[in-house]
Amino acid sequence: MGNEKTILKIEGLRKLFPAERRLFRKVRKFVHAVDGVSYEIREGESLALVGESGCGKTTTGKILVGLYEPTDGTVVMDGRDVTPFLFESYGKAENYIRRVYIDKFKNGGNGNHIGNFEEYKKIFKDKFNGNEREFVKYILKDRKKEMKNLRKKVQMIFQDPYESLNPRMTIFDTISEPLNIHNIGNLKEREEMVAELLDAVGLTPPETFMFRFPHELSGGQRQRVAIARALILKPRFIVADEPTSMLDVSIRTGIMKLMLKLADEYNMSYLYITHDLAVARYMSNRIAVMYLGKIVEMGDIEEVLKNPAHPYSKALLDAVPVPDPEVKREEPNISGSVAKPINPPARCRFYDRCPYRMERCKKDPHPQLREIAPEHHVACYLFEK
Amino acid sequence: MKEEVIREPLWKIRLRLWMRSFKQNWELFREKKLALFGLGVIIFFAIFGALYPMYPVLMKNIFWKDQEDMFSAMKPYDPIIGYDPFIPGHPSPPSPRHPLGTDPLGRDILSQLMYSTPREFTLGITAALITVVIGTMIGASSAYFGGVVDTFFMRLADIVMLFPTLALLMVLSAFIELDLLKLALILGFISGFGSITIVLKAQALTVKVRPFIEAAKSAGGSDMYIIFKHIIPNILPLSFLYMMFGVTSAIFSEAVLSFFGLVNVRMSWGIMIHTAESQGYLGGEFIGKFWWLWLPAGASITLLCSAFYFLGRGLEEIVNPRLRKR
Amino acid sequence: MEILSVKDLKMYYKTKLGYVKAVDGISFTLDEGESMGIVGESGCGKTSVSMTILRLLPENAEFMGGKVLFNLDGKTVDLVSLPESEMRRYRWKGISMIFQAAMNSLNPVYKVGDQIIEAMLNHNPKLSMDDAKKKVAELFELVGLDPRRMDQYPHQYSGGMKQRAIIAMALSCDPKIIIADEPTTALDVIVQDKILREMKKIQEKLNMSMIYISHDIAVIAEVSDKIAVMYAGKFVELADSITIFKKPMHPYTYGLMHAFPSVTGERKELTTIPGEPINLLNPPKGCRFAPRCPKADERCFSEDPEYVEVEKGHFVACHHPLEVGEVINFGE
Repeated sequence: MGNEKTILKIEGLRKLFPAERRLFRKVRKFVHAVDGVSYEIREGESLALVGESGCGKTTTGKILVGLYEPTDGTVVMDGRDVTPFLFESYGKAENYIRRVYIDKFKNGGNGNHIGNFEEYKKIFKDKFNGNEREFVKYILKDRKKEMKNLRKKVQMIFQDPYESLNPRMTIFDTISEPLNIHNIGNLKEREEMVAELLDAVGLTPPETFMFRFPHELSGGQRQRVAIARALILKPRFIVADEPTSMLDVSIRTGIMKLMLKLADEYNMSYLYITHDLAVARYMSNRIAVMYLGKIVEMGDIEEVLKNPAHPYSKALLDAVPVPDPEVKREEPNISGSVAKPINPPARCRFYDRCPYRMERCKKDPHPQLREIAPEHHVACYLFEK
Repeated sequence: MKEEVIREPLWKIRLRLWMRSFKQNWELFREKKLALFGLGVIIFFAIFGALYPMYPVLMKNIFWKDQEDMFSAMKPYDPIIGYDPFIPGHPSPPSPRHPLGTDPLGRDILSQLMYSTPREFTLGITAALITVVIGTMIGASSAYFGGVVDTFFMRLADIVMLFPTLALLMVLSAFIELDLLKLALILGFISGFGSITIVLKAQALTVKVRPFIEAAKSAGGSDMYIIFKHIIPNILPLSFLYMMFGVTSAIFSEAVLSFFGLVNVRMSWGIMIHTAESQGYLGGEFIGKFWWLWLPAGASITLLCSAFYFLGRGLEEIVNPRLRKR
Repeated sequence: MEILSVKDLKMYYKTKLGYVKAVDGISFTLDEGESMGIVGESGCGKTSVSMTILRLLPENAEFMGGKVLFNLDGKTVDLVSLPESEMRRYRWKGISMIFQAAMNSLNPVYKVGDQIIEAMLNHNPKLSMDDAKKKVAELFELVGLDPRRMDQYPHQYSGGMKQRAIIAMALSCDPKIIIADEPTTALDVIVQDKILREMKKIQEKLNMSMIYISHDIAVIAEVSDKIAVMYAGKFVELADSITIFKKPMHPYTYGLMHAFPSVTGERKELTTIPGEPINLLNPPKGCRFAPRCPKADERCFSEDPEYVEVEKGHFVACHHPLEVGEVINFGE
């Protein structure tokens, strides 16, 4: 443990959504959906992102597959900064490069968390002699291609199997769509790849499923199709957004086992987004608990579930119903309810609901994640001396 | 697994899938009596119009056997320049020689009716097609892009909807020669930017938020790819439905304009009524006495328009499952 | 004391292709103050059971037999044979219901308090406005809402608060039984926990009977005294909740119990029940679980197992019930 290659590293990721619509004036109210989230995912590992609805877990995932642009923060894949390729427009990508690289090159800021920071610095100094415009051009020269490449490496599985397949496309068309977009293979090769994947996700024999429409499949079968679609580009990394929460129990375990098996076969990593701690435990090695846009606790999943440290994780764990009538659970120690984080104060996000809040929590900014045990990080002042 | 999985060419499979869904929809459609009636009427008019070239030949062989020269000189069954010199006074009531009578200029009403039919179809369908193509593209893109694009087209639609189309056409007719094709183009364009964009945009918005759009995006699909491959196919049934209604309104508009004599069309159902009106046969007691001058054309307009409308309503229930009664 | 007794209840939906046998011979009894859970997967007919009891059925539903005996103040009536005008008296006052996704059923243009008052006045026109208001305030206290929120609109409520308001509404006519269909499905775990605790407290306080319907066996386990497991329109097993967890006898029950991952204890392998639930439209002869059951033999495919009481209060419908401690393997 701990020695595997890190394939994805996220540093200070932020995403603000405007909370008001104003014509011709600057928006001043923002929902801080994701607010300074950092984590890394190692090769072949699965990280569970757990939290209640509205905590920003899905937004985090959608940034990684390029469905939302990050407001701030860096995404490093295989040691290389790919953030510039997450932006739709050239201007935004340029802004990012100026902010993260050029400004720091000039003012001597630190960027060591980015694997290729020093390399870029050298290129900037030696090759372009500090010519900013040329440097930006150089990094963004294959922008479109890089964007497509990135999409190939990261794929997403969605929550609702009834809505995530186009009802007017056959299963073959749906699964082979990414091949079509990326111009991979001819028709015959595509047919073979689709058949192979249908086989792998347990829809056998493939030829009986290929030319059906989504409405001719059950929920579980549709989710298998969605998994096959995510796999066809052989991604390194999959964002799975509650892929089993809409499925029936007897179907659900089948899908979970399938995903574990495929992760092994295809050597993929998962970011497994869920609200269900039990499912998270079954699917992942590590867990990150999110509350209102911040990670409050992160670490090895068995360790965190056994010794939850953060008051919120404790409450969340206590609230999980236990399928055993003889067990009497403790009442979760938490008050109030989740509010939307619109321009939240700088203090700890959990302050309003925390049963253990102290004077310090009111004044100081949101606590940093710190290691309290090996492979166990908590963001709470209770654990700082 | 290297063996061949699909043993048929892809197009064959697609054709079969298409046939199957067509059959299923036909089953649903068959239950709608009014829609079937509409389809029947449309087919009737299509055949009726197609038979036009045979009509003069038939009449010639029955009534004009001995006067071949006269027939070729007077062309009594030509809808525009024809004249029957053997009838004492025009307009003449229906008779074996002229099953629907003749108009004040001595032309055969039935031949006018038949001659106009394919032209009405062409006009209606061309205008509707243009409307739908424009409406679908704009609806889909303003839903997908939102923002400035959306605001621009929606305000444009508001303006077009508030604008008195008929009055505009009347003014236009003073400047340009409005023939059938131009009329179809103008009608198509105007209604294409009008209310149909709002309806189709609303539909496209419901498609846009569905996760399969996000799935296509995360697979790397470009904006145009998503609009054409995912959004448009899902609003196309509704577009098709609106096309039916578009045909109705185009034929109506043409009839109204022709009636006022504002269109440079030599013959159409509207012109037939216009002729009767301009010769003073629609006033007072004449309207009942010379019924064959306006009734065939008027009935045809009403019938064909309602036929397309009923067809549209029948299709609506197939397109929109919420309207299905079950 | 027995308050509700359902005997061999059958309700089919008529479709063009035949009957959908959604409720196909359901029997159970419910005591005063008892809570029962019905657990099953989507489409197994669990919601149809409650709709049949309350006779809130769509047009194409056909009642095919059975009895629903309801005991109110020492008088027993068969709800099935009552005329509609009489039935209306028993709905809400006798048995009320919390519908699935009920939080969306509040009308957004009326104040929450007024909606509850209206429901009350509908069933008791003699009630004065002041009394009704007082009652609503009491109900709000009972379900843990601030009575001052009576005059607010639904959009000012959070999801959990809406659900509480719906519970208050269900309680407004002092029912003897409440049927709660997936009462917490759309809610987050912490809110779910609070609502369930609240409901349990109220039930004990008012000595009501409850029927919980859910797909989540863990939720059912927390709140129910006895549990019925439903599969494809039939109860396959019914027992008090401890028994059913300790010694499940039907292979489906066993499969369900072992299909749930848990946050506590050892990380165990999960069972996958192969296949898909059968179509309730013209189901084949024999046990409906047979195609997915590892223990099925010829008899299971030809003969419908009878629903029998194997020991006191433990009913099961299976030709080959499991022994205590038997482990079955559903295969991959």
